[in-house]
Amino acid sequence: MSNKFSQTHFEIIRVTVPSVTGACTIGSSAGFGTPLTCDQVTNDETIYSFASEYSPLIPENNVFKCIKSISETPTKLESGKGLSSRGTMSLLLKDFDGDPNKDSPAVLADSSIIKQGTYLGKWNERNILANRNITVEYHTEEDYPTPVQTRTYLTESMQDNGNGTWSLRCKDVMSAINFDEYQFPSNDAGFLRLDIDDTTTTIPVDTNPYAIDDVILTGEEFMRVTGVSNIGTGSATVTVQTRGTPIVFTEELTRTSRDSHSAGDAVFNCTVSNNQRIDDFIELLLLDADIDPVLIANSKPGWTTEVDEWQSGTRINTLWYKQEDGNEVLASVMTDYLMDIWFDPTDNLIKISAISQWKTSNSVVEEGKQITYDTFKYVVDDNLRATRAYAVYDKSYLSRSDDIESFARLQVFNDSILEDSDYYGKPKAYRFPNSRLLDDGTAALLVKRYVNRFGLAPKKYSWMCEERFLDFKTGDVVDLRTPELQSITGLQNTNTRAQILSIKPKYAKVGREYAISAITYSPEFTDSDIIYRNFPEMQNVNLYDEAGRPNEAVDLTFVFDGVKIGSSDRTVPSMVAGNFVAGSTLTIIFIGGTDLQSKGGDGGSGGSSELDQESGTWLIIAQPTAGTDAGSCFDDNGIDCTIYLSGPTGNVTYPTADGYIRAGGGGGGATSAANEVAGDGGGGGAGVTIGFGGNAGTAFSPTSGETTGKSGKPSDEQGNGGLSNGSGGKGGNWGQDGNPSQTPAGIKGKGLAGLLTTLIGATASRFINGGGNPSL
Amino acid sequence: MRVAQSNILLDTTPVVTSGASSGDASAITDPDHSTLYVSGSNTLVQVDFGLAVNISYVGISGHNLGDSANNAGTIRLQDGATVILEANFSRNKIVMFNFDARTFTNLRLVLVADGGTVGGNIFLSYVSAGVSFEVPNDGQVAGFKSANQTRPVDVRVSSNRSASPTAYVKQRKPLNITLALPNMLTSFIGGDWQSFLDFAESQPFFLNESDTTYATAIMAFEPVFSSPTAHAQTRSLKNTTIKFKAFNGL
Repeated sequence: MSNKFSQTHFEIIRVTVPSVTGACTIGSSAGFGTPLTCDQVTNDETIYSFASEYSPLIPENNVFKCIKSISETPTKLESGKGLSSRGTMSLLLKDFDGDPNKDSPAVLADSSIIKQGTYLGKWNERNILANRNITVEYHTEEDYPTPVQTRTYLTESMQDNGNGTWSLRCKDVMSAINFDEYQFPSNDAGFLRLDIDDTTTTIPVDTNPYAIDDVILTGEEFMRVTGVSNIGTGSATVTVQTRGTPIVFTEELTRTSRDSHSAGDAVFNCTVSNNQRIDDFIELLLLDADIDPVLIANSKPGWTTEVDEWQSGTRINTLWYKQEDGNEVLASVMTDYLMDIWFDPTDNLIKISAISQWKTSNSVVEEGKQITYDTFKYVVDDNLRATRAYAVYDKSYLSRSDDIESFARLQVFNDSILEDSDYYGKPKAYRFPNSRLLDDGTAALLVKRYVNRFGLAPKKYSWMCEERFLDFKTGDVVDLRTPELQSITGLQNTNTRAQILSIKPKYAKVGREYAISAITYSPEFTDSDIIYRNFPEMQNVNLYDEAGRPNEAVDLTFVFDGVKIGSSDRTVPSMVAGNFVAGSTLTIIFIGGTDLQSKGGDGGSGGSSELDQESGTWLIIAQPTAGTDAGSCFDDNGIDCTIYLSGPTGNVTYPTADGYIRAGGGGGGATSAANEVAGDGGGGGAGVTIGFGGNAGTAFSPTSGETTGKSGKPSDEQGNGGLSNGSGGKGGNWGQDGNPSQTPAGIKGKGLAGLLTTLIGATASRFINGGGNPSL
Repeated sequence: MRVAQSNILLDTTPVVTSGASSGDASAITDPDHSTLYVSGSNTLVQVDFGLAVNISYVGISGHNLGDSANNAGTIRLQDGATVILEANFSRNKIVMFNFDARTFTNLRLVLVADGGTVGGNIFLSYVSAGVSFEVPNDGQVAGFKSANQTRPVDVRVSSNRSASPTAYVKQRKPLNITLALPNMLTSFIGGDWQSFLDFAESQPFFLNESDTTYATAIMAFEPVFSSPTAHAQTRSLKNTTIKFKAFNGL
């Protein structure tokens, strides 16, 4: 944008249409050099230029000053919905005498055509003016010929208004995936040539180009192709894996049920997302929607950067089957990963932006400059507010309905402070659409980011901006500075951040100005902020995720109040610092008896035997297993952490710590089977989650039947390892190895798995380190 | 005040004999200001129109000589190599040469940018030549707007909280002019005025307030005609007005 103090505005639009240069005939008559009026092949493009009526003399030929008005409705980000609204533009053109194809064979042969009819009328009749590239150049006389901004659209239709004017309607490129206009994937379905039963693995298919590792869907049954034969012919078959077995690539993509099918049944060749990056999937879908590959190629580096920063480890693992509305598919992906996607007509790029409270501001927007004086206003939008968010996910059978019973897991997050009577007094929930894409990690991140972003009722701001000050873009996060935003003391609030939702050009009576809309963007946690959790139970806590995955070094305080923290898997610590940027420091305060334990080791399983009737000897059919090791309580992942377990914390709000860290016990060893005596299981190690007792072995005789040994007992959560019940080893108490028997016992867990953790108030009763590293 | 009432250059194509480019020179005689001739020179352009019989004015509209380094330009009206009249001016003013009717063996215009145009070559949008007439009583009744001495722009200014300006935004607009002609002889209304109306209804026309200076003209278009009205005291006189929009080049 030009920042000149004094500017004289005008606009030029340029429409590019295909054309035929050189010979052009239609039948036996001369043509007008357009595809509709030439039998010859299209071999060129022609650019038609029109300028606003109030433009100055433009030193270019054939720039017709006929634009009476321009109306633009730009793209607008729809927070939390993934897809933005599409941008549109409408031009009102005043028709005039002349001919748009003066140099065409038909006009050269008969110049009287020039004076027949009108320029725009003939232009409309000789061309298809839909889906043509159109640019709007914003000019100032002071900066001409360089446009201060160029906005790109696609033409949609020309409309004769009947009063000597025409309306040219335009749309943005994302309209290619408008609702009901595009189905993903776009490939056509094939069909079965013959009936098949529910066991055959040789599938007679049509002539479509099936290939190994394709996944096909017939009825509700998925089949993975493992071989092909006679593809492309009338006897084509594909060989598939055992019918009814799960479809597994890097991960299990779906389970399926085998069934018989009839000749003629549709065969859908699914699009496989196998460990696919989000940006790669967007590229796949938009290419499938026939959006300009050059535009996609130009846009993708920005997507990759954004995904690397905010969803670096996220991969899509699913199947896209049958045809679904492309608009909804893209919306579901963007929503699940809390990102926005829109077309920026100024940069002529499709952009994506993650929704995260950690986005930093790009610039300051202040009254008197970017905010035209006396135009700033705002409203509180309670519709978006949510103090808790739900995500339902894990759809094992993809071909089943999207009703909730098809999904196995639920992730919930709430901000209990905001639900307290001091704030809103009651919960306000937001439930995401059921998702087949999310996993535990991404679902947890989704609900946390949403509540962090929209926990407080967002304010929607609007103001006008003069063109010379327009130095921000849609999607930017900016700091607002205006006396209209007051602090509690009445002074100007200097801590208001907003995300720009849309920038609408307004063609005022004199020149252009811009209507801006923006929404509250909660600033990231500052050093004084506290991330507070008081859920009764938590597992596998990742502090980095709890903080919304900040992208810069931070100094944060976490408070856990009365939480029992464990792990679902002994190989996963109950709490980790996570992937914070190096240089971050974390203060962790346990209050209300917060109890951090690692998972206890499981007892070993007893051995089994069986009597061989012919030889009369007992055979060992299963060896006893060793007790498993207990897990770790806390891993700092190389981040500087301080954990308060008792005593003063120095924190004004939470001055006194009260909590525990206790390593789990190893699982007890088991015994072998000895002839007709089955082996006994070991006891489980102490911990949260508890260590399970080892299974008893069996001894089977064809004549006298089966006898079983003694199963080990599980531990309790009070630090006691489980007993064996038999001759297996006892599970370890907190911080102790299990007792071995004929197999080794599991090793005690670790209180601290990292090397950079400082413990404060770690008395003997509050801290059992087991095999962990010493505190600093 | 002189007003053009014909144009002999319509549908002709002049020859650019100095400072030529590959542009279409017919744009120079096309009254459509969407078309213009961009020359190959930023200092001097010479255009020959050939034989011009019995003309009394030449009008030049839509040039950029005033965008020169010295913000000044000169247009010479010549018959071949002989200089007939010369207009020196600042800014991109519209020029209308007025003279007693005469024939040019080779009507030639020479456009000179003082110090060379800045940011591009000389361009020229429109030249008209033909017969003009002297408006009786000089045409300048009280209240007539001298459109060549104003600026055809609207200005919008944003200010800050202390009411001082922060941004000027301008937009061009055509000027709205009313030419009132009271107390005209009925012979004028039935004669030159009717010829003028024939011309004005389909072509833009040049109008110069002065007979002796040339860069004081405007190009008028989109006329709104009024029926002449009877004089209150005599049938030998009539009153009439014409409204139009004007382009002054500024």
